[in-house]
Amino acid sequence: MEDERDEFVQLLTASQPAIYACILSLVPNRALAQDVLQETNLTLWRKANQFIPGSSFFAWASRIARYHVLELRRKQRRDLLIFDEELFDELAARQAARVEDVHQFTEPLRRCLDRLPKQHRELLAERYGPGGAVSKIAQARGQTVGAISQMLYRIREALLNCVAQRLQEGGS
Amino acid sequence: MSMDELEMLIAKLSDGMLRPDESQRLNDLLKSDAIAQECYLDHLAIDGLLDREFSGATSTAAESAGNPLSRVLKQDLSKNTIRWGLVTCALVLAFGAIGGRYLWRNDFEKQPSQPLMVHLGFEPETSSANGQLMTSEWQNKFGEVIDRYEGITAFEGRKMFRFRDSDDGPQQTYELVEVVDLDSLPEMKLNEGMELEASAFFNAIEPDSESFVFELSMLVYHEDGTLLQHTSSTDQQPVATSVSKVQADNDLRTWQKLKTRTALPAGSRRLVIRLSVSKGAEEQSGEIAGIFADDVSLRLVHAM
Repeated sequence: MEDERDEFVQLLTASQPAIYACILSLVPNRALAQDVLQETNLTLWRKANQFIPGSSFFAWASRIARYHVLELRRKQRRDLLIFDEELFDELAARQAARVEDVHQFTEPLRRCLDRLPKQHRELLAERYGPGGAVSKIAQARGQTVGAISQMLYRIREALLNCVAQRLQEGGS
Repeated sequence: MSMDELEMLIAKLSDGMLRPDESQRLNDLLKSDAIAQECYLDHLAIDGLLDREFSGATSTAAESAGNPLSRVLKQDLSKNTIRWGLVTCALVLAFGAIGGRYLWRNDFEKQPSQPLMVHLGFEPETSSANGQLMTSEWQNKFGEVIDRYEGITAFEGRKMFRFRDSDDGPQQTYELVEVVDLDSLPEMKLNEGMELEASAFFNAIEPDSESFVFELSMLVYHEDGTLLQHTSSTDQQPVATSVSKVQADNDLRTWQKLKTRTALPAGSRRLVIRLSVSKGAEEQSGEIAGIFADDVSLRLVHAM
């Protein structure tokens, strides 16, 4: 029993970044995505005895996360939703089909981050660290918000390419 | 569809800068376009993973291996304005944009884990470009954060808090206070049947330790006020309180755990967590040798 619980927690640990990333894809608002993640984790814990050891934990967890995303969309004002119903359904279905890909990104991404030029890593740290905002970064650097946003997009794209390459090569 | 336009809109969405008209345009570009949707999902996946990586919300393999139930979930609470204020001992701990965490971990008694909202130890983690926790700024002469003291080491991590000087009251109370701005915790959605539980660990090596009483209390206020000006004699009445006490034992090898829990009435704005140690009046006031606190945590739990 103790071993099963430990294993469950280990699986939950390892899946956290990817569960959050999947939620963020469907709820592209960090604060709301954090809310959904909290709700998801509570449900995962309550339903821990329903998880079948040996099956894909991440697939199970991401299904529960999608349920909580739907719940959030039901409660949220229509005008605050980024995606309309039709598009949301398309994105959710597409994401469900590639959900394991996200989970596999985690470790290769860390290796790819190590390879980033120092100034790019510093920019990411500023953007994603506590209190980070593109407007603040732009002001501090004397650049436009658009320029910083584009730079971040290029860095993310470079990381995506790096991750894809690593996965293709069969390693992390 | 222009990839440049799609990229620009995805970038703005990721950076929280998308206007309503651009949001509609993004919907139009993504709808029924498989390639655009794959591009979008790829970028948001990386965006989400980076968010976790740099907000201090990622559990490393080493952490998991060392203690499977420690630091499992971490969550960015970049708007969290949790700060320490030492009431009578004038110790001020300022957390800026703290990287708060959700942690799953075994508690002291090896009971089933509960989701942990904030872990407030005394570790000297610094706020850096890597988005780790802010350093606690200790600015006082009445208590201190230390590594060890005459054979006692921290309950968790490397640092613990040592109470040193008391107030001048007859009870000789040593206090450490943490003030939590509940509005700044975006995940503070207490559903029906949920409560907040605080826990902390105490230890003592005083020659007559049994004369000390450790106390952990929570006070909930409706008013916001100035967070760092909470005092024991505040005019504001709490809307909810809870307290837990224990007589100090005479065993410096073991840390004593206190837990207390409270519901949050609607409209709750401020939570004060207070750690205190009191001693009999017949003893002399002033500096004490060894009373310590560590590993203060706040959890969301089901009401009993």
